[in-house]
Amino acid sequence: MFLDMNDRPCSRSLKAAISGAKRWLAALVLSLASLHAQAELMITISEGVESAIPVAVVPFKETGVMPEGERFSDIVRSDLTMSGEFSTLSPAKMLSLPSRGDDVYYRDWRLLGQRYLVIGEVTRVGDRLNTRFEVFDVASQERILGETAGAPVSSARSLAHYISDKVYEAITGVPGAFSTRLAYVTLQSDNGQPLYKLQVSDVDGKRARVRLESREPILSPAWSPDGRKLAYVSFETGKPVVYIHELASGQRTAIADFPGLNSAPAWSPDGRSLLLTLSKDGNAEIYKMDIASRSLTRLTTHWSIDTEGSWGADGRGVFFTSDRSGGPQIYYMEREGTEPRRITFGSRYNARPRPSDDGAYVYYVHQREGAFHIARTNLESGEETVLTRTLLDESPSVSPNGRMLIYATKQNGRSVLTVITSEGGSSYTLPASEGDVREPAWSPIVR
Amino acid sequence: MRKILMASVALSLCGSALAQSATPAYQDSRSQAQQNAGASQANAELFYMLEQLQREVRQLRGELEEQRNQLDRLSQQSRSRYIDLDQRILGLNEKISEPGPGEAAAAASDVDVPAASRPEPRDYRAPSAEEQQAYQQIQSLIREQKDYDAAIGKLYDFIGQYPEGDLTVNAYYWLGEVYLVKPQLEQAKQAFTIVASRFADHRKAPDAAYKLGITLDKMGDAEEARQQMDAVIRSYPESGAAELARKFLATE
Repeated sequence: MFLDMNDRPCSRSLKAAISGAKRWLAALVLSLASLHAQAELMITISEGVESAIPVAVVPFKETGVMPEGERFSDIVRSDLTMSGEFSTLSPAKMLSLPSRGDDVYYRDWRLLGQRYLVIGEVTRVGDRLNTRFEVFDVASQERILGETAGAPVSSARSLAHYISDKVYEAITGVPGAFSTRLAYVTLQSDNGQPLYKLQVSDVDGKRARVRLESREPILSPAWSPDGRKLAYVSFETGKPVVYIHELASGQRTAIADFPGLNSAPAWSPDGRSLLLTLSKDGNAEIYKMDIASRSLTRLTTHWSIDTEGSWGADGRGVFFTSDRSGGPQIYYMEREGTEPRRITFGSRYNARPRPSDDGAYVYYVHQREGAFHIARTNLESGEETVLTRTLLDESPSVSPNGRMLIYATKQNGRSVLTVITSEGGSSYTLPASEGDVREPAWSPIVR
Repeated sequence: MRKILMASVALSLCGSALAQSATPAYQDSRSQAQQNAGASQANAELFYMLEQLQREVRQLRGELEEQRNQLDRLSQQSRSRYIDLDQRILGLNEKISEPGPGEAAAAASDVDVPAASRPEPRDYRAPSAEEQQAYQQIQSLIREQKDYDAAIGKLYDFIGQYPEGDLTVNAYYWLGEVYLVKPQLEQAKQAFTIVASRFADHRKAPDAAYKLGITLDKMGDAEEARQQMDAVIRSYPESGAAELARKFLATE
């Protein structure tokens, strides 16, 4: 079945997306309906979370000419909302708009049922924006954060996301992930021909930039731990080849171009090696490639299909998908060369494992009653939780702080990206303004 | 998968065809063709058998993995049921052994037992109503409010106010537990040591001795922890604590 890769996959791929049994492979034989896609993703918040913490982000006092586009504090507000952990108060409902701690009347905010209050100001000095922001706990009437920061005017959005990160951390105690980025693949039809684009954007879908365009599929983007490189599979030469793409310079290197299948790249936590699925020895197996020397170590030896390797948090164990027990299931190899242990037992189909950075969970695609969901298993207790209610879910990717999860699903016949909290609370959808978007990958936090 | 196998079968067929071509020239081409057909028939059968075997092995492996998983889950469940039951029985025992309030406050007759290798049970002063109430308050501080710092203060007060009673030993034990959670391991070690050595005949002693082992282990002293666990098993072989200690040693 993997030798299907030698065929041109685009034309026959739609069938694969429909058939459940072939779906696992459809991840390799990417199937996208031919529709127009534009660079920018639009956010639609579909559902709030009941346990969301009420936060008021007061419009920042602005001095000087602000860059065009959204207001500074609006970006912070929408960041906090999309995390799914906060419900934010509309400025129209605010009784006062303080920008300094002295002007805060706690009873106003208590009356409005707010738990936390974010205020601040932003001042333009030449080509720079300087900001001062504070967070207050309304109940205890205490200031829990006060900070100043600055950035060039051209990086206004980065500065706003930085504030969101700090506010998020002050309230939850966990670092925010709003300054991180998303990589994904869009497909549009260009004169009747499919056109694939590998894009990188902010987590809110803004500032998207096309990094690669191809008439042939692009698959499985994976971030290097330093956030500077992407590894992915591209069919541009007519067969799957794994490339490493340096984002700053645009320099690309074909790192795996063996006969047969080259797929599913995953970086080791130290960034020195890649896990790859190769069929050069006749059957799909997982290999580790040392990037500097390009030397390969074969990790799996089984006549069934082993693929989608992903390093565990400790950088030694490897999660992967194997059909050695009849259907795809997640296995974990604790050390190189040890006997893999099966992790998933909830149904006949569990694939594409993505362990969380803290090593507590593994997220994966889970089939139940004919539908595909994202589920996670607690690695200590073995308990499985189905997280999504949508029906054709694929490609889970966990945010680096472990609090959010992005995955691809179908909405009105189109592929969209959906972000939920890692507990399963529904949050927001990122459809391409036209066309399909799939294969999301959440970048690490880069300081 | 199937295609790969097909390919490899096709390859081996080519191989055998090449081998065939090396046969003597006097053999006529017709018999060679027959032979080829026979070989390919055999190969196809082999291929079919192999595929069937692989399917069956997969299925068996799946069943085996699932049954092993089920077995693991069941034994884990029964273990936690046992612990739950054990705790409830312990609770009942405590209730039975504690006489009604006010009734037995005078019955305190502390017999000094010299520390022996095998502890002799002695009678502990039963708690007064007031004492019991204070103890309950501390329990709720620990279990419900999880206010450990306040609990530590109250426990010390309790020990000072009601020395050498039945619940005093419990208070020392809980002091250890709270310090272990904090974690302030040096203090936890002291508290557990007091229960395990000074009150070695008390019903809390086996648990305290086991927790002392856990504390030592957390302090990074694996060797001492192991010795402590051995001591638990030797001193209280029938207890739940000994069971836990055995498990600890088994997973070490």
